[in-house]
Amino acid sequence: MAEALDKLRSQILRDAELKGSDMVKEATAEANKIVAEAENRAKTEAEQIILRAKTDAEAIKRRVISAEQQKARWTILEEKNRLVNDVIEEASNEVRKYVTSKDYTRVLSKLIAEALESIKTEKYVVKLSESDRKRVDTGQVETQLEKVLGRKARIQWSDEPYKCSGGVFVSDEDGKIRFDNTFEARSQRLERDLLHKVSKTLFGE
Amino acid sequence: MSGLEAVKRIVETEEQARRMLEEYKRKSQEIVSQARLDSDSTRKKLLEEAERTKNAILDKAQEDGVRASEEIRKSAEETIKRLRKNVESNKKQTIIIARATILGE
Repeated sequence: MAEALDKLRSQILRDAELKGSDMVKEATAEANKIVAEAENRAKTEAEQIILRAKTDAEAIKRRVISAEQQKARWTILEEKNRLVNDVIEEASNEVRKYVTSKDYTRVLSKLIAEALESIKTEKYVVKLSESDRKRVDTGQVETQLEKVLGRKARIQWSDEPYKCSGGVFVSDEDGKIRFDNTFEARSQRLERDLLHKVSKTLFGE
Repeated sequence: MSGLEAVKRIVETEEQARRMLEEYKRKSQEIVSQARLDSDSTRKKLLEEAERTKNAILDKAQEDGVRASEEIRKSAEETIKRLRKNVESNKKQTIIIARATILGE
């Protein structure tokens, strides 16, 4: 009896031992799975972070470089504009001084001729600046004009001065049709052409 | 040994077995809990490392951008110097052309 009892007691304890061992084995397997899965998820997350960082880095670099390139283009363009405007200013100064040159009457006749080509009328009224009215030999201008046109034009020199540094203001008798060929108007009208020519010659473009 | 004594001993043994199993259960739970703690710690370490790498990448990009910008700036300065030099030699002729344009020559 005692022997049977001992056997039974041993069996009970052995069964408990086995069951317990299995429990620990299962727990260990689950633990390893938990750790491995968590590690994989974390690695994937980490890779995503780094990949996004690389994309952002390229964008940052591009943005910084692009901003600087834009700034550089503007700086160069501003300098070119400054240089061009300097030249145009100097040229304008020379043009203003041209009114005292011997060649001025020839230039005036050419400017009048250009205006006459635009205004088709019987008689023309020509206005000069205050100083040109006193200085210019209008007879000489008319002679030169006849050479340029190949004919005589009916011109009336206005007593009313025109506010300008030089050149002419031409209109029909009524003053309704006009052609402003003063230096100022010409500079404005020819601005685009002037800028193009100056840029081309100055920068060799 | 009496029957009663025998039953008493079996009950004791079963109680012992039950306590043994309880201990195994507790140990198993501890193994799983520790695994969760370890995986959290591993995740935290990996993500912190990734953040450090990310910041290093971004800092380098900024530095590279600044360096490249400096080169662009220097290049623009050189271009302007060249422009000014060229302009000096072409200026006189350009003024003549501009004047002629305004005068209608």
